[in-house]
Amino acid sequence: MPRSKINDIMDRFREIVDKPYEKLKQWKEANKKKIVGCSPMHFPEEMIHAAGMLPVVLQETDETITTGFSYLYPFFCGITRNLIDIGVKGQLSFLDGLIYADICVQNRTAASILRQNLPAIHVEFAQLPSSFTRKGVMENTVKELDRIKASLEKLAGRKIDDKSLKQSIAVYNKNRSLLRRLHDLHKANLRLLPYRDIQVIVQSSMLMPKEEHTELLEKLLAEMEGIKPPSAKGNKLFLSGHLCQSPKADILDLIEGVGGIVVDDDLYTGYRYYAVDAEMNGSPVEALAKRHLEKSLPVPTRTGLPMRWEKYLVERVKACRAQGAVVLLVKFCEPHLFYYPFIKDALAEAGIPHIMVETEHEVVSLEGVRTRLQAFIEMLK
Amino acid sequence: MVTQVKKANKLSSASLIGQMMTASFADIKRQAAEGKKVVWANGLPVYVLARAADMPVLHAEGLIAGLAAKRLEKPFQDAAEAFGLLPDTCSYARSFIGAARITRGDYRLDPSMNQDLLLMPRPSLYVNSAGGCGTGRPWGEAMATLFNVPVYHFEPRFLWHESDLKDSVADFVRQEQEFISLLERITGKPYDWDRLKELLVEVKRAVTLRNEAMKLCQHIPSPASFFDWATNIAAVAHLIGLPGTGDLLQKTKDEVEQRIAKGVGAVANEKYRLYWDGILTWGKIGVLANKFAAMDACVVAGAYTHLVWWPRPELIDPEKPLESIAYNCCDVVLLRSYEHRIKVLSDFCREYSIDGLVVSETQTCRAFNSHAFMIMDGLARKLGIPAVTIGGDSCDIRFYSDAQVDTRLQALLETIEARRKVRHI
Amino acid sequence: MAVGVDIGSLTAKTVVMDSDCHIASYRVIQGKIVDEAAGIASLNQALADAHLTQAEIGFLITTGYGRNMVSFGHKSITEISCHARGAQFLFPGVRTVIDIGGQDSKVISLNGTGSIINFAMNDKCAAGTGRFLEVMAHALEVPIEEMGALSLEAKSPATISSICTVFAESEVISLTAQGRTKLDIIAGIHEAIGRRMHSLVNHVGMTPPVVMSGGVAKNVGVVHVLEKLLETEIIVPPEPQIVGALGAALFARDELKGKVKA
Repeated sequence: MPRSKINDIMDRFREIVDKPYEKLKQWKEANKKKIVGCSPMHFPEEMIHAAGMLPVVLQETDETITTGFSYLYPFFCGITRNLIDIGVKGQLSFLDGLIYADICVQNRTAASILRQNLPAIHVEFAQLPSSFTRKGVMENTVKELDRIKASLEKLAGRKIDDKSLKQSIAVYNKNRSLLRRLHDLHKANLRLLPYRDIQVIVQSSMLMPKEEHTELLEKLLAEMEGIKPPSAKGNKLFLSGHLCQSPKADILDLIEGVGGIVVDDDLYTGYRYYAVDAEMNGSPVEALAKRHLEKSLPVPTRTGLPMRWEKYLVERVKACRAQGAVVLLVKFCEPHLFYYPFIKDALAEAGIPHIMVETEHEVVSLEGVRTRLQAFIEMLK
Repeated sequence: MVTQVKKANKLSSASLIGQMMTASFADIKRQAAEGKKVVWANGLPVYVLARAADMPVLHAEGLIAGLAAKRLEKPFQDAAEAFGLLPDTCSYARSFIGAARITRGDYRLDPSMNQDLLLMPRPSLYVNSAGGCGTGRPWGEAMATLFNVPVYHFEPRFLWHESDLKDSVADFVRQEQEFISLLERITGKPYDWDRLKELLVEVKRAVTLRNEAMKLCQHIPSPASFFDWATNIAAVAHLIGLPGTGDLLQKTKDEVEQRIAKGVGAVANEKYRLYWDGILTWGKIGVLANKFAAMDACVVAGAYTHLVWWPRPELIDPEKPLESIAYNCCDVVLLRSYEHRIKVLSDFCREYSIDGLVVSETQTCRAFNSHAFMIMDGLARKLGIPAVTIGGDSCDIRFYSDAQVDTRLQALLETIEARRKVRHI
Repeated sequence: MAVGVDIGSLTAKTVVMDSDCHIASYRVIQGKIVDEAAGIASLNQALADAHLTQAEIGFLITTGYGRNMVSFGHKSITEISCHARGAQFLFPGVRTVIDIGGQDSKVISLNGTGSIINFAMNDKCAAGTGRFLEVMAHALEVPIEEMGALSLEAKSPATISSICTVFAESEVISLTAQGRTKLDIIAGIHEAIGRRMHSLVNHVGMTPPVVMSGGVAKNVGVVHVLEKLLETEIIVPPEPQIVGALGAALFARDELKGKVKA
């Protein structure tokens, strides 16, 4: 039966997402290849792939913070605290390299603290220009990417030539196109998979060899084509926020549990990750720079974008005909916090009801979140 | 419970700053009324470039810290929070955004409140030059959106490697050039390079005097305290380049030298010399100064006063204004790796004969508090210097607890005492 | 019969509505945290007061923190919807509902036709809730029922700036040691609650008329401070604690009348 094949593939994806760092450690022992972690957002993993190393986008785990308390105050975002905590506890020792792209003060802090405390790992800080309107932003972005490329070449012990980089871009474009196919399938059949599973599929792409993920995803999509699940009853919602870390599966379940259906999103472990491809013609480093500079979804970590995030959000919500938006705001995420007043106004002006749910690393009060979400749904009815 | 009989022996010259600040805000308003284009800015003092273009500059940290010290900051925070900006955010940013809301008329001030201080004229340009902090980006974008004005974002680089400084300076100079072109477009006038050089002469004088005076606090007993340097910080921040700052700092240095000559200390009975990491809770500066004095503890230096504002005065050459400013904006402690910071701090602690470290949590400033634990740990291991954290923030007073500071300060001093006894055995 | 049961953090409330849409009976029972037994007790006692048996319950809706944790009830609806509904029943045309309970507080904004347009909750910390008052009353050795009236007698309220209950408690101790009068401190505590609620109200916006519900609405001092800060009269029902259960009972009545869309 098709459903059990789907489950088998989903189990493979769930495995890696549930215990990512354990699984990567095992993978490394089995494959004897180098692994380079990158912080979410902005850094093009293709460069690591082209050097013959495995790129992974670091994810927040559910681990309770213990040792990390003596390295960093608690008023930092969840993924920063979590990565520092598991880093100093040795769970990231399988990494050969770690690249942090400059996003915000929190992730810069994580880069600095991890560099200091994990001397065996080559930690790089990619200062991609943050002002998109500055003169020379393309040249400076290319320059910085070239610098990181040289650093990766040293780590890998081999050159990253244009040919390999183009091949890697093709591999990544292919995977992104499949994720877009999944996105479209979901929009057409909202009950095909629970939203937590959609997220697992995207996250697992960040944690395993792209080619392997592509193969599994192709099989999964083939199994799902033609399945007509029952029509979705419930309130259609747009999910926005969570710029780096994935929302906890419990919260995604809660949204569905109280009668909401997620139709679309702008999460990092969602649409942001696979929305756009890099060009295949011309210089590949420039193509990667262009993808970052010209095609990124509006984001609060950069300045001088042609469209502000809140305008983009209203457009996306209207386009998918959602009845409301759930803004998932990671506690202490300053880029999001500074945009929230504008998001609030823009949604209100557009007549789009929304609820803002603050999320934390420690699941403090799931009941409180349930109440808010349930009240929101009741409000929409 | 400590009964505070001994008060801080404040520098009398430091008290002049209040009048200068008030006058400067009034002057910004006057110039705006005359039709001059106003600049609102946050962060490192590269905004001095706008002063040479005859544009009055309102500096976020200057305005907000100044108001917070007088406990007038709350309307700004209320204004920002009324529109959905949560209190977890940087309180400087939040308060300045609140000021924007008030200026725009989005938030009505209670008629009983001081309109002079709280209602600032609209800017024609916003400048973000936050050093070592990505928060300046959404902050600057928010301000530009609220006022519908252009924004220039300076991006001093984080110095991942020591050798990055030269490149960083060169890049910053290019940004300054771009900024100056923008000023020319906005004012419609060619840039007055001569005026800039004149300003830099005054800047050099002011910051050199201040640094020399601060260095004199290596003397035992220290003639001035961190709280004095925090009180007059505006002379090298918000007021930099304006007339009177050099004179004020000359008075300051003179007073410090006189105190040394007379053997007078900032604290009547200096038994402990401390270093302050983090910003301080501006609304409690007087309380804190007295609290430490009562415990015979002199906070002789701090990161915020000594390592952020114009840390390289010797590199200021008025004939090379852009490089001068660039060095002073790129070599700020917040842009430095942990290795560099711990080295600078260790040297500091030796030069100033530091017994202990007070780390003010500065809860909403993740640029400042990011390396707190590593620094405490590092100094403890390198120099055996004990440290204590105290709750607080820069200008959001809700994070401060007086009783907690008393307890922890007492614990720090007891630890210092205990270690002294051990050394004597 | 339509019944609403509100299982809160420390109290359980039941309201029984009769067929003419009047309150037939109600009960408030103190219990342990999210106590099913207290819920059942309040239900049974309210039924007894109305001379009814459990078999005569047509539809029962639970609300409150413990709404999903009890074994009885046909449906659960959040206390946000229920407080709004209950307040509207008592005061048609209400536009803003401020509920301050034992452990949480909320503000609900309604439009002209009585639908909820927005709400904000504080359920993460004790500041600005009944718990805050309890802690302070205990620290000052004053019976909690007297706190409100006493706050009105102060000449110059002390300022308590901390948002955290624990910090605020140490501020109160400091103020006492500094020789501030109990009255001034009590007034300061009430102003702190007022400010906290004011900022919650600002999240949602305030349009009069304003109704207050929840146990803390019985505290005249908090009502007074809020009226001052919001510059509007605040209407307090005679039994502010049962507003949630009343709303639940009204929703139950809708079910009985078949008014609810599938």
